[in-house]
Order: sequence, then C-alpha cells, then structure tokens
Amino acid sequence: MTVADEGAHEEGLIRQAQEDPLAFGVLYERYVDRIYNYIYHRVGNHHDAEDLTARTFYRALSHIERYVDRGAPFSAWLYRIAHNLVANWHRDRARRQAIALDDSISPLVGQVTPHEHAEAAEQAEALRRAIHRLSPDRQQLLILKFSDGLSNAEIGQIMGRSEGAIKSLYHRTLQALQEELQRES
Amino acid sequence: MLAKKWAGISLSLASSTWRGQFAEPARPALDGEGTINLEALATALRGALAPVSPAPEFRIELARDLAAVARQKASPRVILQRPPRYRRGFIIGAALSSAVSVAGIIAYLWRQHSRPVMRQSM
Repeated sequence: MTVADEGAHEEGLIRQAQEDPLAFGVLYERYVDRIYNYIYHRVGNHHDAEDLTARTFYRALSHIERYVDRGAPFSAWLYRIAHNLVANWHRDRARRQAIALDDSISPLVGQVTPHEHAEAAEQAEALRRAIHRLSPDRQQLLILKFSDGLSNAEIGQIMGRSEGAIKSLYHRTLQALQEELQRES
Repeated sequence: MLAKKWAGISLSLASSTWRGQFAEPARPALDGEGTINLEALATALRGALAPVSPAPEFRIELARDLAAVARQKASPRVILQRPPRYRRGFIIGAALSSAVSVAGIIAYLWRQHSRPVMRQSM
C-alpha cells in the first residue's frame, strides 16, 4: 500500500468511527501499541502508562466527532492527547521518575557477567534520568525517533513542525543530552 | 569517568543481542577531546528507548471497555416527553388536594394550640 493509499484508508476508518462509535476499535488496535510505548517512556512505569493510555483512548473516543483532518496523520492527534495527559501527570506528581527494577536491562541477563549487568543497568538508568530532564518536546522527539523508528518527516507531521526543524531539534537534543550526562558524571 | 563508562557500555551493548537492536560493531565512544561520542549516544538511546508493548490482558480489557462506551454512545437518546394533557390535570388536582389537606391539618393543630386550658378547681 502506498503512502497515499494508507492515508485514504485511514480517512475511511476515521469517517466510519465518526459515524459509528463501535468502529473506533479498529483505530484503537492500530495505535494502542505506539501510544502505550510513547507514554511508557515518558512516565517510566507500566502502571501509569496503562492508566494514561486508557485515558487517551477514552478521550479520543468521546471527541472523535470533532476530529478534523488537517493533513496530519490521525496518530498526531492521539499523540497530542497523550502528550497533554502526560504533561498533566508530571504537573500533578513529583518530577522524580521511579523506574521499577523489572524495567532495567533484563535482556542482558545470561549474556554478561553480573558486574557488567549491574554497570549496564546503572548507565541505562543514568541515561533515562537524563532523558526525563529534557523538555517534553525533546523527549517526544527521542521517543518517536528511537522507539517508534519514525523519519524526521513523519515526526514533523506529528509535532507540527517542518522536517528541517525536526532535524535541527534532533541535533540540539543530542547535545543537550550529552550535557546532561556530563553534568551527571 | 563517565566517558570511560560510555566507552564500556557501547562495547557491551554492541556485543549483546539486546532485542536485536545492536548488530552494529562497537565504535569508540570517546573522541580526541574526551567528550561523549554522539554515535555511541544514539546507539545507547536505541537501547534505552526500545519499544515496549502493553500487556495482552490490558489491551483486551481496554478494548472491551471502549466497546462498552462506544455502545452507549451509539444507542438512541432517551427523549423526555411532556405528559399528555389529561395526565397533567390529574397531577395538578392531586397536588392541590394534598396542599389543602396539609393546610387543614396545620389549621387544626393551630386551633388546638390556641384553645385556653381549663384548670380544675381545687
């Protein structure tokens, strides 16, 4: 399916969901993994990620009739809802991000020594802390790029910026992260 | 110290099969000035931000809950209708008679309260 076909297909799904709320389930299945992934990396734990993911889709379902296609993908709208809910979550809770032990680098178990595992876990933890100190927009960019594997153009559509602006923001974000890590050391 | 640690982690990450993210050969994390190599940082970011999926039970439960909400949205609205005229007459009549009854009870109690008390002579 070409990009244009994909867009037309999605337009059809949205129209169906606006006419028949029960058709929203298709959109849910299409995007739940990505939205959950984004929220998880913003909040750092599964419990809150589940809660905020649910709230994102409840809100999307209740406002689906008001959705207007302005040329951005439907996912951009969902990401914006999720982004705002996460911002509220951060405002309402302490900034300290508690990351559970089971969220550490468990895939390395069995492949490295316990010492290397602990050191790698510590470094990953330092990196996550540094990521969470970045601004929400920079965090969103990193997650969309490294977790979702989106291109600069696709990220630009979601964040409402040009491809060039995203490229520039990406480089500034890496530099900011580098500074955060050096500050932590 | 951290820069050395980054050199170490870029090697260990490159050699691991961490969700298939690191098939690339290890690159030195330090440049000539001892700053963190951005490429190594990008590699570490791919690891730290590896995709995470929701639990299957959560997915299914949320789908079910959303479907229930969607069904409520889709069901026809209940429209409140004005009662027919004859029913309105009954309602008004019942309300008036109740008001008259209550007024009568209040008047009776007031009269009882207002009557002078007869004292028994000793």
